[in-house]
Amino acid sequence: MPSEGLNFLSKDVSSNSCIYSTCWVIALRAEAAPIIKFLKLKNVNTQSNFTIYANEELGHALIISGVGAIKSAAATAFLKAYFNIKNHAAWINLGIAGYYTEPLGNLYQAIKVFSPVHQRTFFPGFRFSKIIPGTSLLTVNKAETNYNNPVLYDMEAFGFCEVASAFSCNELIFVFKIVSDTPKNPIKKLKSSIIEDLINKNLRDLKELLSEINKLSDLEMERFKIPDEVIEIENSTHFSKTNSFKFRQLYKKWKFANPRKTLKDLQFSKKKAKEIISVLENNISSNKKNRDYL
Amino acid sequence: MIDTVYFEEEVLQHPTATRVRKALPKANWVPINRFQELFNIRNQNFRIQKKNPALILAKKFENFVLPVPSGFGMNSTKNFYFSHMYNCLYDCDYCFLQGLYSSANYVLFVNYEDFFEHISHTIEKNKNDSQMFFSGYDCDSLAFDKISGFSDQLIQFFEKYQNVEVELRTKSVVTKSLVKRPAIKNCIIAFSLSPNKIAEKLDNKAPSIRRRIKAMKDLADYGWLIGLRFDPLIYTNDWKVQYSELICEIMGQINVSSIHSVSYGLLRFPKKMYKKISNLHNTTGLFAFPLDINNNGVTSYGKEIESEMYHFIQKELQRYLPVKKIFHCTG
Repeated sequence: MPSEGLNFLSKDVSSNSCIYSTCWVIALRAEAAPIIKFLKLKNVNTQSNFTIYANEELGHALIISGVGAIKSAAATAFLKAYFNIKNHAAWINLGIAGYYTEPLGNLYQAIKVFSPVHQRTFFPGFRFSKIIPGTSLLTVNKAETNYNNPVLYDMEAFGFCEVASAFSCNELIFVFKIVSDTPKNPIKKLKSSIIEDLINKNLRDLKELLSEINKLSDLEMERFKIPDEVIEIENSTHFSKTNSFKFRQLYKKWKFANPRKTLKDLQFSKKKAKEIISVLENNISSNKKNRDYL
Repeated sequence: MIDTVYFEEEVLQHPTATRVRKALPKANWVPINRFQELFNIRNQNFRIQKKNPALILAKKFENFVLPVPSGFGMNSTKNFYFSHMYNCLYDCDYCFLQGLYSSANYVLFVNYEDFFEHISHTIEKNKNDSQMFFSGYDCDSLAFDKISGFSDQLIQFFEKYQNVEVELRTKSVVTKSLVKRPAIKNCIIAFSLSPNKIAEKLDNKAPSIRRRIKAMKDLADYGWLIGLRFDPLIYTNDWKVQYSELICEIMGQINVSSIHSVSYGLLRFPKKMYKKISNLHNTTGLFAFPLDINNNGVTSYGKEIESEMYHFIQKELQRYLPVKKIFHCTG
C-alpha cells in the first residue's frame, strides 16, 4: 500500500502494465529534492551518468537531467528506455524559470513552449487552469537576463517536449515552472536552498495537480489495457498482427454482450487464431438484434 | 466555460475577435502563428482534450464553400456547405468529428465576410439552378452563437437571396438571436433528434430532447421553418417504440406547415474513421454492436437492419407528412 498521505496516487496496476505511470524529468538536484522527499522516492542504481529515483508503490520515477534542452531530451529518452515506460504514462518537466514580472514563487503551467533556435512550438498538456494559471514559455540556450517578452524563460522544456511527446499523448506531457527570477530579482542571487524552498512552497498545488494527472493517466491506462485472459490466449496461440488486432476488437464487443462470461466459457476446440475469431464473431452476431446497446 | 483562447496574431483586431474577447473576458489569450500548428499536433488525445477544449481564433483562406457529399442534399439541384467553425460544444458518442479531427479544440474562423463573399460568388455562378447551403456540418450552427454571433450575420446575408435556401443544423436551444428578429422563409432551422432514451445516453452535454422540441415549437411560433433531422438512426432492441414515440411527440407539438423537411440517415462511418472512433470509446455500447463493412468501405448496421429501419421510419413519417418533405440521407 502507498505511504500514508499519498493514497490519492494509488493505482490498481494489472499484471501487464508497467508500474511507473508518472515520470518526472528535472534539471537540478535542488529542484528534485522536495519531490523526492514528498513522494518518498528511492535512488535506483542505473550504472550510468543519469541519476534516477523511483517509488514502485506510487508508480513514480524521476530522473535528474542536468541543465539544457539536449540533456533534458536525453534524460527523458533514458528514463523511458530504462523502465520500459508505457504510453499511458504522464511525463512532467518541473523546474524553476525566469519570468518577465513579479512575484517570485508562483507556479505556472507552460501551455505553449517555443524554441527560438528551432523556431518550433509545442502546446503540451491538458490545461489545469482551475488549479494554476497557464502561460507561454521560451526555452533558451543560456540564462535569460533581459526578460523582454511576457513569457517564462527556461533551458529544458523544449527538449523535454520534443522527446516526451513521442512516448505518450500530448495531453499527458506537462511542463510546470516556478518563477525564480525576474528583472527585479535576477538569476545571480539563486542558491540551492532558495530553489528547494520555491518548490516546497508549491507542494500543495503540485499535489492537487498530481491527483488530476493520475486520473488522466488512469483513463489512458484503461483505454490501452489488455485483459489478462486476452493475453493468456495470445500467448498460447499464434496470432498475426492483423488477427491480434481483430481478436482484441471482437473481444471488447463480446465482453460488452457477455460481461459475466470469460473466454474459457467459449471452449475453443483447436486453439487456432482463425477459429477463436470465428467463434467470437458468431457469438456476437447470434443475438445482436435483441441486445440493449445503451 | 472556455479558459484559453489561442489566436492567430493576424486576427486579433478583427471585429469577431473583439466580440469573442468581450464574451470571454477571463480567458487566457495566447498568440499563435497559424491554427494548424496547434490543431494538427500529432499524438493528441481527443477524449482527454474534450474535457476542456480551448478556442482557437483563425483566418480561413480557402475552401469557403464546398459541394455536399453525394446523398446529403434535399430538393435543390445544387447543394453546398460551409464551416465557419470546426468542432462542437457537445460530445455525442456517434459524432464523426472525433474521427475527422485529431483535436477537440474549437476553431472559429473569424473572417465571416470572406465566407459571404464566396457564397455570393457561388450563388451567382449557379443562378440558373435551385440552391441550398448547409451550415453545421463541422460544428453546431447555433450552440456557439452567443460567443460567435455568426447566425445573425448569416441570416442578414441570406435575406438578400430569397430564392436560395440555407439550413442551420443544430442541437442547441440558444434561439434568442432568431426570435428577436423577423423570420425569413429561406432559412431552415434544422434540429438533430434522437429518442429521449438514446439521446440521454449518447448526446453528452447537449440539451435534452424535450428542450429541443420546445425550442423548435418556439421558433415555429415565431414563423421560422423547421427541419427535423433523424441522423444517425441508432439501433437498440426497442428502437421501433422509441422512434415512433418521438415522431408522435414532435408531430403533436409542431404544425406540419412549419416543417420544411424531414431527413433521416442510418449510422454510418468510413472504415478508417470507425476504427479511430471506436478506439477512443473503449466501452461505449454504441460501438459494441457488430457493425458490417460494405464493399464501399462503409461501416454500418448492415443491409437487413438498415432496410428494416429505413422502411419503418419512412412509414412512420408518412403518417404525418407528405412524401415530398421526407428525405433519406445517405451521404
